[in-house]
Amino acid sequence: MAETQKLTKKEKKVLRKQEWQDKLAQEQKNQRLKKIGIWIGAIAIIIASVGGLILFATSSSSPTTPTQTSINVKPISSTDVTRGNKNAKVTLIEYSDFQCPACAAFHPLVNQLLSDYGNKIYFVYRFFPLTNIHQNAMISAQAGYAAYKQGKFWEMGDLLFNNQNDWADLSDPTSVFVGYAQKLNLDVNKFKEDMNSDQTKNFIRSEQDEGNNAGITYTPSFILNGKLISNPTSYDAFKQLIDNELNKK
Amino acid sequence: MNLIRNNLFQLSAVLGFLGFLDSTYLTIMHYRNVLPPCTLKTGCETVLTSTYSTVGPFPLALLGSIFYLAVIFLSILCLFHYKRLYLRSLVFTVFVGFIVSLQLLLLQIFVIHAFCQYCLLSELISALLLLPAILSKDLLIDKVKEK
Repeated sequence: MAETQKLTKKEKKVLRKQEWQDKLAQEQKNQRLKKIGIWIGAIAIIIASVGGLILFATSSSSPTTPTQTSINVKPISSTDVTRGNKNAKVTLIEYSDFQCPACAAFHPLVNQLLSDYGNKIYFVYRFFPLTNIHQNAMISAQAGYAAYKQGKFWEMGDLLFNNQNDWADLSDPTSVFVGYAQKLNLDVNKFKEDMNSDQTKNFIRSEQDEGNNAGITYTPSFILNGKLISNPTSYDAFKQLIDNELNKK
Repeated sequence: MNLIRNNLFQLSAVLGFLGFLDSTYLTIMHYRNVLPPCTLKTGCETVLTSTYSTVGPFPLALLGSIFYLAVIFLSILCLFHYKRLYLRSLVFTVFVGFIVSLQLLLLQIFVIHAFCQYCLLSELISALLLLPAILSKDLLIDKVKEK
């Protein structure tokens, strides 16, 4: 009888130990599963957030209507640097700086617009060199204007924007600009002369002053049919704005 | 001690996630060739399109995303599979990230002369990440002393 009771006690002890070991194993298993779950959860959250961001980026950059503010800029005159059809329904004025990276980023978009819309658009380039933050803004504007005097403003503009990194940080980029003039088969002596002439500098300063007086504070600033538009975030958004103007009665 | 340590790792994982969202958004916008909406009236576009916004063929934002992903990964490793090697890696990564961010902030102030809100947010997060990193580093030192 006593032996049976002793055995039972032993058995109970073994049983308790077994239960405890099972519990421990189960807990360890749960811990492992929890860790795996957390890793899977973290990866899922990251993938979902990337997906969400892509959707958000797509919807936020889809052609919406950027803000349009009335602004009184100087009327277009014969001294302006223009391109396209003077009688077009849409006039786009850009205040720009050749050393401004954002202007360089917008440059292909503007070129694309001009090529897509052809005679339906009248484009005006106005010099607005941000001389207080860009050391070569003024001299590059002078180079642009000197090329304009020989009828190659847009070609020079392409070279200046596309190669902005090559000259932006130079202490004297004149030789680079002269190189561009040679590339465009300009009369180099006249180019140099025009680039440094008082008339060129005064013209650029007058455009700069006029922009400042009108309330232009940043580049590129686009004025579409007399209204300053917030910079479109994509080509489609820009196109949408032009189409809206073209569709107006 | 473990609880404090775990809270620190959770904090760095959450900060890493916020930084990841910020950088990944910029990366997506870069590859979509679209400028994100900038509430700072001037300069945001200047910073995001400057020559410093890319490293070779890669946008800086993509490197930022990878950095924050590494922070999240190492924080979770430290949280659930703690080893001193993981903690050291986390602290090292966070310090490298902070130094790079500081350089980018100085670039915006002294070279580009313009700011972008997304970049400033990332720089703030990388600075905040120093907090759990420094505190966990102390834990690391304590642990060494204990041994």
